[in-house]
Amino acid sequence: MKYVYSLIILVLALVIGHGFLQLVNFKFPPAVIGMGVLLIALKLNIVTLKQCEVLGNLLLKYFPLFFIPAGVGIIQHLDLIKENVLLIIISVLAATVSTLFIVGKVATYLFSDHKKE
Amino acid sequence: MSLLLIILSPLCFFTFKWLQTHYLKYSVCNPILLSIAFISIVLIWLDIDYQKFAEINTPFFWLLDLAIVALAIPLYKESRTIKKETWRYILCSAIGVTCSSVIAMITARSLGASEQLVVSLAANAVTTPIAIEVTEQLAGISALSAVVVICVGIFGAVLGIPLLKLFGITQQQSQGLALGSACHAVGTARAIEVNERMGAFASVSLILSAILTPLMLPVIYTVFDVIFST
Repeated sequence: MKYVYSLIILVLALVIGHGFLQLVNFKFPPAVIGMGVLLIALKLNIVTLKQCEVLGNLLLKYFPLFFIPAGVGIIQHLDLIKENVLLIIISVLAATVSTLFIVGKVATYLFSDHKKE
Repeated sequence: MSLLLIILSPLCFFTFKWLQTHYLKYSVCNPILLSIAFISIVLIWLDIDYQKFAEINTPFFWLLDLAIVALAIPLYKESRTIKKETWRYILCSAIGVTCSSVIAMITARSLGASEQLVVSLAANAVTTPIAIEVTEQLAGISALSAVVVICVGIFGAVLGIPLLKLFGITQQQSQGLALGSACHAVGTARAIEVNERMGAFASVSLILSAILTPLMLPVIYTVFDVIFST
């Protein structure tokens, strides 16, 4: 029963997300709006952590399983990837290394007062 | 046949996960990546159309959406811990999102990538489900984003901390935030392995990036497009 209740909460948040985007006619991931809705509901104590946690934690635990079928979609684009493999590697590598560097440096600067404590 | 196709993902996932925890304890043996590779090979080998596979596996796409909604739970828990310095964490993650997308787009475009490819590489630093959703919204190839994101995570798990040390970033807080920002879930898992404190900071930036990316990327992409198309 607890699972059914938390399923209703999660589905409801998702439905609100879909409804809201339909209403404002804006392109955005509905699930992210749903996440925001649930967060606000938690903050305002409309739902409690206990109520949505049962199913929520189970879903989060097996999160990776749910995007395997989406990832398999890669087989539709094998030619494109084969042609651009070097380009993909270089640009993603450049982005990752510089993000590590910049965020690391910014964080060191922003939280420098923590060091003195 | 349909039954076989729908149990293929959980079967692969749990097998590879079991293998990784018991025998192949390397980040490279990521169960998701191995599952995607294995199923792709099976589908090509048996000459099964992807559309058919996706149709049968629709429940997983629904669960993916529900799990994204459930991300509010760790976010709510983190929001209590970062309360006092929220803006600093948000600033860090916002810089991370901007940096990773802009540099990927600039590099890809200057190397002559097509528009679709540029978009698909932009969301390289956010957790896979969000990358899939955002890339889809921007008319990119979401499956390519998914695979790229997992590979970035593995790269970060293996070389992230040595690289950060090389850059002179030694504070655990900064290392955690950088790993979560650049290398999302797989990087965060690595940070948790090192210690709980680093893991906590990594998950803060993982979660904040998950929220900021769908908000910021369409804007960044539009601005980028205007600058580079003229």
